[in-house]
Amino acid sequence: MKIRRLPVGAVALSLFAVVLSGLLWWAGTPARAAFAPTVALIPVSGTVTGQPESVKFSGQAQVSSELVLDTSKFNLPPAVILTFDLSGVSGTGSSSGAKYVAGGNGTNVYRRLVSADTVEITFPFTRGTTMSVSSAGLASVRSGVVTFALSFDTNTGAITKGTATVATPYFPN
Amino acid sequence: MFLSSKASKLRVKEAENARRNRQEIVKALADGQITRRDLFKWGLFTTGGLLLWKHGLNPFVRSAYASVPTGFPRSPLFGVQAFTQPMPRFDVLPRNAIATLTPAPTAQANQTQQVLNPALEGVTPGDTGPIEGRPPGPIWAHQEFTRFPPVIAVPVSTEGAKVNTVYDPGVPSSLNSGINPATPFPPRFHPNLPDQGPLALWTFNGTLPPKLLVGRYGEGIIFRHSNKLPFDIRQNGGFGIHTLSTHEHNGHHGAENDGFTGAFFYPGQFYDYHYPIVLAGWRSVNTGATDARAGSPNGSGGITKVAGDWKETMSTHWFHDHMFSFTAQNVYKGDAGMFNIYSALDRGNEAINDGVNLRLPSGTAKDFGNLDYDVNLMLADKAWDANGQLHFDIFDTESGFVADVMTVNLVYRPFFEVERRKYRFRILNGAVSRFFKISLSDASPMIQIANDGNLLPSPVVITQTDELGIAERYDIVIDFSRYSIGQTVSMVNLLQHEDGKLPSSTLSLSQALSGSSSDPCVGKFLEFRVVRDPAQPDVSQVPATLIPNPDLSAIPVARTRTFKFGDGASQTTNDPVTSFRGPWGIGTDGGDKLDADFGRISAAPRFGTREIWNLVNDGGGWDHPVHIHFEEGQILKRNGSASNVPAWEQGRKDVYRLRPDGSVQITMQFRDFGGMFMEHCHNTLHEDNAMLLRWEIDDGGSPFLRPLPTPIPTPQGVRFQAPTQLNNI
Repeated sequence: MKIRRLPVGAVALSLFAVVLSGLLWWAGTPARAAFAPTVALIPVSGTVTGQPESVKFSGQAQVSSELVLDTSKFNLPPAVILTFDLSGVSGTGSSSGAKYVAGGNGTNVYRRLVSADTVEITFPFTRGTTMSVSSAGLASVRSGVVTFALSFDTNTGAITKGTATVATPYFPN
Repeated sequence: MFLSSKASKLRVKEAENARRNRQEIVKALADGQITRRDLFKWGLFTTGGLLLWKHGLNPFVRSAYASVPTGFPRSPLFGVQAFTQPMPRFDVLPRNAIATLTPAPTAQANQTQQVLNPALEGVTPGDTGPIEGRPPGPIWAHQEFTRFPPVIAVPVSTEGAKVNTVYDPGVPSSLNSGINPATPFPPRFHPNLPDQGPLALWTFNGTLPPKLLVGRYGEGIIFRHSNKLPFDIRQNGGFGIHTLSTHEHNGHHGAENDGFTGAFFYPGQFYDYHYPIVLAGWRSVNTGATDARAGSPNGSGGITKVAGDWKETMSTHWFHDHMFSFTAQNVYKGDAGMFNIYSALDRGNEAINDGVNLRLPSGTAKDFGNLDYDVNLMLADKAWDANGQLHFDIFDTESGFVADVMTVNLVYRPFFEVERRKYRFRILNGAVSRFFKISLSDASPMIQIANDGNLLPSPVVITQTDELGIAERYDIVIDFSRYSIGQTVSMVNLLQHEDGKLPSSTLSLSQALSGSSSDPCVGKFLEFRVVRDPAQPDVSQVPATLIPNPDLSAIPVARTRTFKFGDGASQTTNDPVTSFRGPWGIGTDGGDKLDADFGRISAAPRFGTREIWNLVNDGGGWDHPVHIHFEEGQILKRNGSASNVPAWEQGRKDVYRLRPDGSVQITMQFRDFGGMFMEHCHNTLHEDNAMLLRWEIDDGGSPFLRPLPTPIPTPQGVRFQAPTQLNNI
C-alpha cells in the first residue's frame, strides 16, 4: 500500500535537532550459553491441616534447575527455571492412616539466580495413590503449600542444598 | 514499560515529556509524512530495532536530572476500584441462514466493481475496485466449497467503538452477574471510566463485549467480515491500521480462509471467510463417516457423523486480525474474538449420555452449545492516556508491549457471580506481549482439560497453571461447590513482567497477593462471588479420558526442519509491500535469521505427509510463543527430552512456548487443504518486527502451482507477483 509522503522538512525537526550523536550499534546474533539442567533431591516434610483430616507429608521432591544466561545485548541477570516433581512425596492421613498422593508434577517457576532463594508453590493432593479426578470429583481434592529453601551455585545454577516444608495454605481473602 | 505508582512528580513529568515527543513522531507517521521504514533509515531506531536511547524520547534513558528511569505515566483509573463491575460474558454472534447473505457467497472472490472512496491510499476519484478483498482466481477460491457448502452466515464488521444495543450473552442475566442485555452497553472498560472513542478502540461490530462465534462440526460457516474502518489511513488514533486480515486461530481449512498476513482488505470491502469446520484427516481417516465419535450434534439429541479423525476434534479457538506488521496494534486495539466449536464429544450439553458426549460443564437447555456453565475469558493488559483513551507504544519494537491495567473480557478487574457447582472456563491470553500464570487466591485445585483448544488425553489436576503465552488457550474446570454462599475466591496472576521480552519472575501466591509487586497486573484480576446453589443438580462430568492423541507412529516422517527464533535478523529482500525490517527473525535449517517477507517461502511441506519441526529459542533473554497455522501438532520433546513435556502439554497444540534458551520438537501432518500459511512468534510485537515466515502446501493438486504467487492487495484489486524462496524448501 502507498503511504502519502510530505517533504521531510515538514516533519517536526525539533526532535531530530537534539538527537544524540552516535548510535548504539548492537552486536549480531547472541551467543547461546547452554547448561544442562541439574536435578536435586530435596527432603520434604510437613503437615496440611483441615477437613476431613490432617495429612502428614514426607519424601523427596525432585527439583530440576536449568540455568538461563542471556548473552545478548539485553544482558539480563542469570536466571533459573525450576521444575518440581512431587511424585516422591506422599502423605498419610492423621486419623485414617490412608495414603495421600501429591500432584502438580511439572510445576515450573522462573526466578532470578541468587545464592539463596525461597520458592513457594502450591500443589494438589488427594486420598489414594493416583492423582486423578476421582468419582468424588474435584471437591475431594485438597491443596497444600510447599516452601523450598534452596541454595544455588551461582556459576552453574545447580542447587547445592535445600529443604522443603509442607504447610496448610493460608491466603486471607 | 510502566512507572511505579509511587513515582515522583519529576519522574512522571519526564515520562510525560518522552511520551509527548513520541506522540509527535506518531502523528508524523499517521499523517504519512514519514514511515516506519524512514525511522529505521534515519537511525531513530538502532539497527537492532531499539528506540534510540535519547533522553526525552526513549523512556528508559536515565534522566539528566536524576538517576531514575522513566517510563509511561500510569494509566489513570479515575478513582475506579477493582471488582466493582460485573464481568460480561462474550457477545454471541447471530447465526443466520446462508440465504440471508447478499450478495450470495461465491467460491471465487466476488469481483463486482464499486467506486472507491478517494480517501483511500493510492486512489484517485473515479477509481473502482472489487467489493470483496479476497484475492481473485482459483488459487484463492474456497477449497471444497461444493463438498462442504456453507450453511450458516455470520456477518460481522470491524469498526470504531460505539454503544452496543444488541448484546446477546447467550444466557439469562442471572447467569451473567445480573447484567441486563437490553441495557445499552457502552464502549468502556468500567462504568466510571471514559467511553472509548471510535478511533481509540476498534472491535468486531464496534461494540463490547468481545464477540463469540459458535459453530459445530459439519456445519460450514461464511464469516463475512466487512471493513468499516475509516477510509483515511491517518484516522487511527495514533496506532492501528485500517487494512485487515482475519485469522481463525487455528482453523483446519484452506489458506484462503486463514487470514494470510498479505491477504488484507480495505475499508469498504468485505472478505468471505469460509469455515467448513471439518475434522482433520477427512480425506484419509474414517472417510465413510461411520464413527460416532467423529460427529456433530444434530439438533435433536443425536449425532451427525462426519468424516475425519475424531482424535483431531478441536474446541476453543479465537479469531483476530493478522495484518502484516500491524497485528499487535490491531489486536491490542480490540480486533479479537473467540470461537467455540462443538462436536459429538464436546457437545456443550452436560446431560446427554450417549456414550460419546463427554458431558463437560455446560448446561442442558439446548441440544448443543449451552453456555450456562461454560464461560469464555479473554485476558488482556491495556493502557490508556490521560484522557482514558486506549494507548499503545508503537516504538516498543523489540521487547514487547506490556501495559498496566488488567482486563477480563475487556473490562477492568471485574467480578463474576457463580453457583455452587462446576464451571468450565475457556481462558485465552489475548494480550500482545504479556504472559500469565493463574492460581486461585486460596490455592484451591482446578482441572485443566484442554490446551490450545484441544481436549487433553487426560485431565490434569493443578493448583496453578503453567505460563499462558500469548494466544495460548487453557480450558480449566473449577468446582465452586467447595465454597459457601457468600464466599469469594479470585483468579490471581503470578507472573511479573518488567517488559515484554519475557516474565521477570514467577511469584509465589503469597507474594502475588501481597501487593508488593511493581507490576500492576500481578495479583487478583477476576473475583468469583458464590451467590447460590444451582437450580438443578450438577450432572456435568470430567471423565478420566478425554481425547487421546492421534497415533502417528505408522506415518513416516518425510522431513525434519529446524527453525531458530531470535534477534539480530537480517533482510535479504526489499519489496516495499511484502517485506519488513526489525530486530526479530527466524532462521530456517541453519540459515541466517531473516526478517519477515510474506513473499518469501521458507518451507513447503508436501501434501499428505508428516514432518518433525524443531523450534529453537536462540537466546536466554526472551521467550517466544511460536504459532504454526493450520495444523495442530504434538510436542515430542522439550529441551531434547520427552520427559520434559508436562502432562498438560501432552495433547495437541498450536502455540509452542519455547522458554528462555529452550527448544521444542513437534510433529505435524499436512493434509486436506493447501495454500500459503504462516509460522511466527505470537508475542505480536516480535511478530510485527519481524519474526514471521511463510510456509505453504503447494502440491495438493489443482489449482495449486508450485510455488504460489504472492498476493499484493490494492484498493483497485489484488495483483500477484512471483514469490522468492529459500533453497531446498
